[in-house]
Amino acid sequence: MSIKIRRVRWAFAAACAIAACWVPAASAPLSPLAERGKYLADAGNCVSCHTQPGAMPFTGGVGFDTPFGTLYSSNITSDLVTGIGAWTAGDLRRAMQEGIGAGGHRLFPVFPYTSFTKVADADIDAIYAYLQTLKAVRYTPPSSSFVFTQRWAMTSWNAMFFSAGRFSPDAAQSAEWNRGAYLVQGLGHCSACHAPRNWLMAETAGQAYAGGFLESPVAQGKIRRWSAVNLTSAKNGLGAWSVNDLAKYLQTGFSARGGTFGPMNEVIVNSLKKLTAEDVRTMAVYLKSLPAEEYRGDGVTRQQVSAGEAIYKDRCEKCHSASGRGGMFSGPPLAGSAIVQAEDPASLINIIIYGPDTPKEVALGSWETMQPYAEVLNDTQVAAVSNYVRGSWGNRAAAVKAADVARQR
Amino acid sequence: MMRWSYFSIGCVVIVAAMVATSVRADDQDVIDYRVHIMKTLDEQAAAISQILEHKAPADNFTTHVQILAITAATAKKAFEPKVLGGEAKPEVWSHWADFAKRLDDLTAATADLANTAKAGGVAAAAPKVQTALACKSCHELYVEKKK
Amino acid sequence: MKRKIKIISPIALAAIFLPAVVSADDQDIVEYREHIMKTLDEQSAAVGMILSTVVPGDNMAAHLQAIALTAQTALKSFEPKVLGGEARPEVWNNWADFSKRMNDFAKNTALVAAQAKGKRSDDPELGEAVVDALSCKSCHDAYRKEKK
Repeated sequence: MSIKIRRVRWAFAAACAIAACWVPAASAPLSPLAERGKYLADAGNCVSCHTQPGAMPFTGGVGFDTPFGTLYSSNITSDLVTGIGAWTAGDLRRAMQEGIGAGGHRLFPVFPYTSFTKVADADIDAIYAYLQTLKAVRYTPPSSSFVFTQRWAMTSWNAMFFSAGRFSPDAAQSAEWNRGAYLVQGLGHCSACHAPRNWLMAETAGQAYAGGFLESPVAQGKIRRWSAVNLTSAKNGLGAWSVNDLAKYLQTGFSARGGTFGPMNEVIVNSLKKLTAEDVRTMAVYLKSLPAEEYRGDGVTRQQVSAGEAIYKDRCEKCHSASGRGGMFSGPPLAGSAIVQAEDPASLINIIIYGPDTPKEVALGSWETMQPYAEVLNDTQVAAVSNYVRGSWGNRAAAVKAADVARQR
Repeated sequence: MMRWSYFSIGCVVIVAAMVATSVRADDQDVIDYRVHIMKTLDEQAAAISQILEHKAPADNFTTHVQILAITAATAKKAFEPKVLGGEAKPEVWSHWADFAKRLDDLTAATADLANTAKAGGVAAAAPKVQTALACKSCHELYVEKKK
Repeated sequence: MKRKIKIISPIALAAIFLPAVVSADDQDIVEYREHIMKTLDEQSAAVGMILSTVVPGDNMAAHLQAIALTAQTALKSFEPKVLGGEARPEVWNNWADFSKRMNDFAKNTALVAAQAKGKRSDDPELGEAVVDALSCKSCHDAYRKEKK
């Protein structure tokens, strides 16, 4: 069972910060250490969770809606009062590797210290050097819900679900694999979205990267549920992807096997796009090495599949082809697609009803633009065509119900 | 001796060609590819028929016929891999000599049609279209009837 | 009488088949341009398969030549202002732009078809040129209707 984490953004705080946003930051060149730290902060994608839309970078205030209440991310600029300007490098290490803030208070794993614990001391020191160069912005994020003031509770949670420890390379694997594992498991914190979670919001042990879901704001405080696909090489995961496909997708948001949309947009645009091709490739190498976590549940029935066939032929086949393989000049393949077969069908439903929200920094090759079908297909029809694609061409996944579609509208 | 050296050269060329273009064709790809060719012939034949029935202007007639001829010439290669599926009957390969000859004939007839059209336009080519584009005779033998 | 017919027939044929006489209705016009567009779709898909190396590239030059010729027929087929099929009214409201794009498309595909004659199907420069010439999306985004 996965538990949702919702991010709620505060529009007014963003509006206040917008004016300051256009003031150019102090342009002293960064020291080599801080330069390295900037790169690593890009790898960790700190900016996405610590910046509200339109606000100054790293000023925090992004809300994460959990079953236990809403938690807001911190201001990590160098402001002495509202930011982390008074922190030492050791403080940042304790925060990232042990989940303990500078005041000795425990942090909540919405901040993925459970992944960052793997990050090497030297890398955190570099990140620290970089963060200290950030223009100090005085801004106090909103207060988190009451539950999140009860930090003592984290002692038990950590005892049950967390063990601190740096990444240790596997001598049996290549340097490339180890670098990829370090990036994916540590700064990449991919399992924060791509692992199933239990009822206490801990990632389910032994199933990292098997897939999950998340809720993310789309506009004006509207929250939408999305799938986080199975990253293992299962049939319903990345089984059909080559390392090249995956590296290209991670670096550019596009490969012959699929294009980015939804929450991966900011991962690619704010983080992966900025990393070196070598580093991104190592992540692809590591991910492709993960043993397959196959889907073992029920698949759609033949009846459910055939209910969607006419819709597919009428509306989808032109670009995605009768064989589900798409085409270079038409659209991506659906056969063997991780999104199509994701256990949680949220992203599949989203792309059908809303179309893809391709960021301007990403070009989806020569594919045609997919139209939104929200006004054209009703819930039953969207469910039917979803079931068609989830059960054709060797694809296998559980059936989608009309209610699943209604929830996404 | 002469034959032997041609043979060796041939072998080298074939091996080089195989090595040069490594292709990951699987059965579905082979089927999809030949369907694209057949559908192209269908669309162009339909456009030509429309012109002959005065349902479309004749300005593009010669070009349509050329497109047809070029496409017809690509068909045989697309059917070379023996992959059952799509609408192809097994007879395509069990009667390959006949099937291939018919495609060769189609290539020749459409090439001739294209030359005629270039020289004399619609009027000159029109009488030949019916025979050149008799898809039915081949389809009856080699295309699966829809179930 | 036979002689008369022999004289008349070719003239009659010419009269029948001269381009001036077309009794096309709207649906015919829509279908005619769809045959052209679908040809482009099928042939581009074939080219895409070759570029993705999922089928052999022996026919590459022929496919590109077919596309170039088909592209030449496209603009004419949109000349009659007939709303229908997937054509947006913008095709005729912005005819200057639409026709320019079609002419550019015909020109670029002809260039690429000529380039292909000397090259292998897996030549990277050719591949890039083909992808540039065959991208349908930008024109479709502006001029093709979404199916309602």
